[in-house]
Amino acid sequence: MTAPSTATEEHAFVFDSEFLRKLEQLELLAKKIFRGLLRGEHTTSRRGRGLEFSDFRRYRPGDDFRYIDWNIYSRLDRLVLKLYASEEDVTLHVLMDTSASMRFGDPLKFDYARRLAAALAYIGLNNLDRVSLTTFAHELGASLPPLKARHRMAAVLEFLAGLECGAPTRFRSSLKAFASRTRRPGLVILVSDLLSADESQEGETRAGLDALRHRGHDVIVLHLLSEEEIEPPLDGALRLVDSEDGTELKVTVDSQLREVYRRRLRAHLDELERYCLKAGIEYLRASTAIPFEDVLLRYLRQGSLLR
Amino acid sequence: MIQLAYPWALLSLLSIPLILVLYSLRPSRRTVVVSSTSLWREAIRERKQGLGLQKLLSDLGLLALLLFALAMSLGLSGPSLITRSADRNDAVLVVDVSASMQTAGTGGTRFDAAKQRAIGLIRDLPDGARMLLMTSGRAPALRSAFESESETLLRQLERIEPTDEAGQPREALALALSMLRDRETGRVYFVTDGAFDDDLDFGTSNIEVLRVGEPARNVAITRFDVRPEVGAGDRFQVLLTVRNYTDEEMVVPASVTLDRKTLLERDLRLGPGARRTLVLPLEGKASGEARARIELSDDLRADNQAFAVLGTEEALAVLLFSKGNYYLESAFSALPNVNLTRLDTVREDDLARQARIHDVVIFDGVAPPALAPGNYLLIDAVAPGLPFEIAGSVAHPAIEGKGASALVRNVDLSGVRIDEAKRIVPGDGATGVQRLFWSEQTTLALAWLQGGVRAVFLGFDLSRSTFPLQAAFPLFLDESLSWLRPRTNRFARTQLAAGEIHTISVPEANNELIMRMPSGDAAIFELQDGALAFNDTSAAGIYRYTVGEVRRYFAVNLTDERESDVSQRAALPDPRAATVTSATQGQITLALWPYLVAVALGLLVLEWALWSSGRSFA
Repeated sequence: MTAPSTATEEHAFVFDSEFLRKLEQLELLAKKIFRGLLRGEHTTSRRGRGLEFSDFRRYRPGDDFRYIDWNIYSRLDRLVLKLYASEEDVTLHVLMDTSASMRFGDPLKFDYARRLAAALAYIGLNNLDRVSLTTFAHELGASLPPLKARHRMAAVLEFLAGLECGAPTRFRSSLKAFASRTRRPGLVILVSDLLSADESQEGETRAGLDALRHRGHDVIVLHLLSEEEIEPPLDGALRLVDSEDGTELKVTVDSQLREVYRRRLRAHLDELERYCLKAGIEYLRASTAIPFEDVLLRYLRQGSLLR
Repeated sequence: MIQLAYPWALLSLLSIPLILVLYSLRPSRRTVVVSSTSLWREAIRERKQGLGLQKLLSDLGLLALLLFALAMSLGLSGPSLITRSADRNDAVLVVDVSASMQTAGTGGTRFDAAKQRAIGLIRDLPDGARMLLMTSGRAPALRSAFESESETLLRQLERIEPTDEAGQPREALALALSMLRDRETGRVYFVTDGAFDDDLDFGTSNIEVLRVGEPARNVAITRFDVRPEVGAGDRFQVLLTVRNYTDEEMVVPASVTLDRKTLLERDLRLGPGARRTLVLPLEGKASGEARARIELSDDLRADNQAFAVLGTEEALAVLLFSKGNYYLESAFSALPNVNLTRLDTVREDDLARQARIHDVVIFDGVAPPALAPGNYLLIDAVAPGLPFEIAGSVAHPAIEGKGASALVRNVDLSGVRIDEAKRIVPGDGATGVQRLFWSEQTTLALAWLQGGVRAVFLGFDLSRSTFPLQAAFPLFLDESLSWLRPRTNRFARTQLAAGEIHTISVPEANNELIMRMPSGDAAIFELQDGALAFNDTSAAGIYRYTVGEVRRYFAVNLTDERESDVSQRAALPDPRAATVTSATQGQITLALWPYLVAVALGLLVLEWALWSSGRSFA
């Protein structure tokens, strides 16, 4: 594959040659890998639509055990799901968080998200019918209408390169707006840090995700966290300023408080994961310290996004 | 107790506002923008350290600076902690129970207030500490041993009542100090109204005087007596002194009664601080209970009345066997209250009875039979069985010496000339015999107590000496009678000051005395050898007592000019002076400024550490 040549300087920064080279490497795997994404029984919405056997993948909790291949289980003692080819066209919606909190981390979560989005779009355009990109923060932002064919990748990169982030997050309203705007259900990949200034952010997030689910979308959450959020390098007397709404919090951070913070973060993540599992939402968490291609090829492969 | 040597140094506390201003100008806390503060808020909430404490901790630097300023200011003021040394457990609580403590004020008497202060002191007694309870009246009295139980002390305190006694606080405090095991560490608390003139400066800081009461006004009877005129059996005098202790002129209605018969009733006009004395001669025989009273409303009522008793003396029954002795009989006539009976002869079988019914039996030149138990004065008369023998006579013996006996101690014998005296030879086993006076050749007078016989012997004829002509003779006779019949009430006092001890002597055959107090209460006392030292005279009034068939009475009065002066005039020890010299008086003065400065420096280091740690994350 030839890398898109219409990238701007911003493209060069976010999607440098190294990134493009990695995309080409991904292409070799895409055909095989991405088929598993849409032709399996990973969500109930398309269960029974395909009759032609396509592939296998590892069983995950939540999968319909009627599709387990019991012959393989009896031979290899492994639970494997039989996948069937779909007969429908599916649109991949990449829904990207452009709130102010995404402008954190090293690398920036925002840049990391853009690369992930580009890679997903690249794979999608090579394998699927349609790919669209939409941003959101306190409301829906810029949107790239569904594209088809791999030569539209340049438009995708240009779109991503032109994005900016900075507003507060409103999951509920933004995702509801998106759900109501899409005409046909598809695969929604939400790339976000799931952070907001709102203390009831978990509820907000769930409400937004529920709106997508109820619209009939298969939802995959790519939860991005920076290392600074996982292990905050803070100590001493500080005035913490929330990036989204500018509220201040005077705090003296010590090891004890950092431990409490980590505990709260774990509880927050566990709660999200439990909710997604219960709601049939694919939940994948990634630190920006992990190279995005590793996320795609290794980490995500352990899930159902990539086989 | 903390004392400040330089209290003005506390003005440096004004630096605290300056610190606050400077602190507000220093670099503020580091601002860090985070993606979201929601998790931090939850973390803070979970740590259950509210924002208030969090803010306090975040402002620990300021807190350290303020504490530094406080510690430095206190340090500059030179504080010292005054404590008692290790052995500080003993204390003596002296409660003033003198008459002035009955002075009324707002909310009760001075004694009521003193009791409350005493209760407070007892309740504040530290664990393990001991306290002894005393009262200060005419004489100090111990009311408890050293007790560590507050309840025991409170019970003893509850029993204490004010008296009509004139106080002598210096004596009480001297005793209190002597009760302390270690004068350098013990403590004496004296709760008083300060209405006395005694100097309480013992040169020690161990005494802490707690003054109670308030200014008061008083008019008092300060002297009262009713007595027969000398040499006139049908006339007597009333002596009454009333003093006005107030600053205003007073008209005082005064009255005197004798057995409810009014002797005097008069309004006395007294200027501020003035006293007035009445001497009123009256006709009649003075006998019975006399009472003086002033009718007015003042703050101390105990001295508004006074008492006296008259004609209560019992006559001394004296039987004289003599052929006739002008000198002797003249001397007896001069002695008061003596009933003299003279007989010429004595029957041997009747002597025992006569000795029993008479206080003293005198043989003057009449040979007595063997002496039955009794009291005898033998003048140139030798009875059988005496503890000495007579061996002839001595002409013109010159008195060369006299003994230490009370019979002759105050008797001047230098002018006595004797023509002839019996020569006395001490007999075998003559124990209990004391020589009274003697010449070179022989003993001239002696006394002995043997086998129920108490006797004084004069070895010469009075009519053949100059002794009866000397002033020493009636004195010797009086002393002899007192010695021979010491348990008579003849010379007992009938008027006492409250708190004085009254010595009561009654016939030996009685061993029980019933005393009726002025309050009407009666008490039974056991007699030993016919004597009782009665000391429960704290209340003014008439005391009546009965012993067998004998009924006697005596009066107890306050009548003390100084005690009736209820002004709180005492110069009390300066408590500040006491603490200044405390280092040498069992108290330890611990200078606190080095510790405060050390704390201040520590706080400064802490503040610096907090500040520099804050900068390192900036």
